[in-house]
Amino acid sequence: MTQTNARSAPPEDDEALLLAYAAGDRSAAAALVGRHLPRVVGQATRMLHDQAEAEDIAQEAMMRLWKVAPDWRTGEAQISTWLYRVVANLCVDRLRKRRDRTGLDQIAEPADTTASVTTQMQDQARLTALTDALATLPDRQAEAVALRHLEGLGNPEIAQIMDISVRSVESLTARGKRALAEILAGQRDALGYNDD
Amino acid sequence: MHWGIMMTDPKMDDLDKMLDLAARRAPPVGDDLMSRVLADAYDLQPASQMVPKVRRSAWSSFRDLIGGWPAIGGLATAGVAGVWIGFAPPVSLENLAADLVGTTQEVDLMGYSYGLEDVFDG
Repeated sequence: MTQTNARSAPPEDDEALLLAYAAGDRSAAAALVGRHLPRVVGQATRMLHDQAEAEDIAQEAMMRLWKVAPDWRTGEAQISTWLYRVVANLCVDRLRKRRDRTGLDQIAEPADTTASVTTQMQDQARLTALTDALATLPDRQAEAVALRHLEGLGNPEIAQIMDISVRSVESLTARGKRALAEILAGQRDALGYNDD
Repeated sequence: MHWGIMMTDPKMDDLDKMLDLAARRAPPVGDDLMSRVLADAYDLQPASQMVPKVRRSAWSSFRDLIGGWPAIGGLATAGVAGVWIGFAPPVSLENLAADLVGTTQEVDLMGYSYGLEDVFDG
């Protein structure tokens, strides 16, 4: 799991930077981008497994941050938490569009991953299969699973991001994982897991 | 009984491996994306959008037109002095008026009688 600057930076510094940005300090914008953009891009990439789409999402999420800056309520939410929520929602929207476009029964078959192909290609096939399966989950399950297992966040933090109880987070992630496991079970051979 | 041995679900194991694989991805942030995001930030920065417009009242404009507060003070002093001279003109001023006009008449504007009869009766 990648630990980012955004999670280690003191939240009060983030807020001070955002207030400075809203007051016209251009260097504050650069500092906020440096702190948060890598994590935002990473979150979107891990959920979507598509670099171009992930960058679109990252740009959109940061744009929302700039727009909300003048009205930011100090002490109500951490910027990192707020961004996790925005990115997760945007990614779930993208996954839903993919699902609507392809249909539940038309998830792409993984590429043939026999001994002749490289491990890298096999990894790519597995990541694609995972993202496709994630797209079939109900939005809240997909969001909870991604925050828990792709971002490595704890249940209390996820509860804060999703504005639900910790118990609900546990339920959503458990059901989401079971559903994912069932969906992917039919592709074990194609994904090369019987060879591991 | 197999105490201490947990049965694992192969399907769940596969899923955990895939999730771990995805979680390890940490893509670099390209310069192009960095530039786009910063450009957005500068475009949307409140202070860069709003050119402060100073709204000025007619009073402020008048005050500045005549030279600011010192001039206002001068005008007020001159006004008070004029009123005072009207009510209690100095003797020298009366003598000057008499020399120029030939004679002077006092008119009591503040009394119950204007004293105009006195003026016409001489």
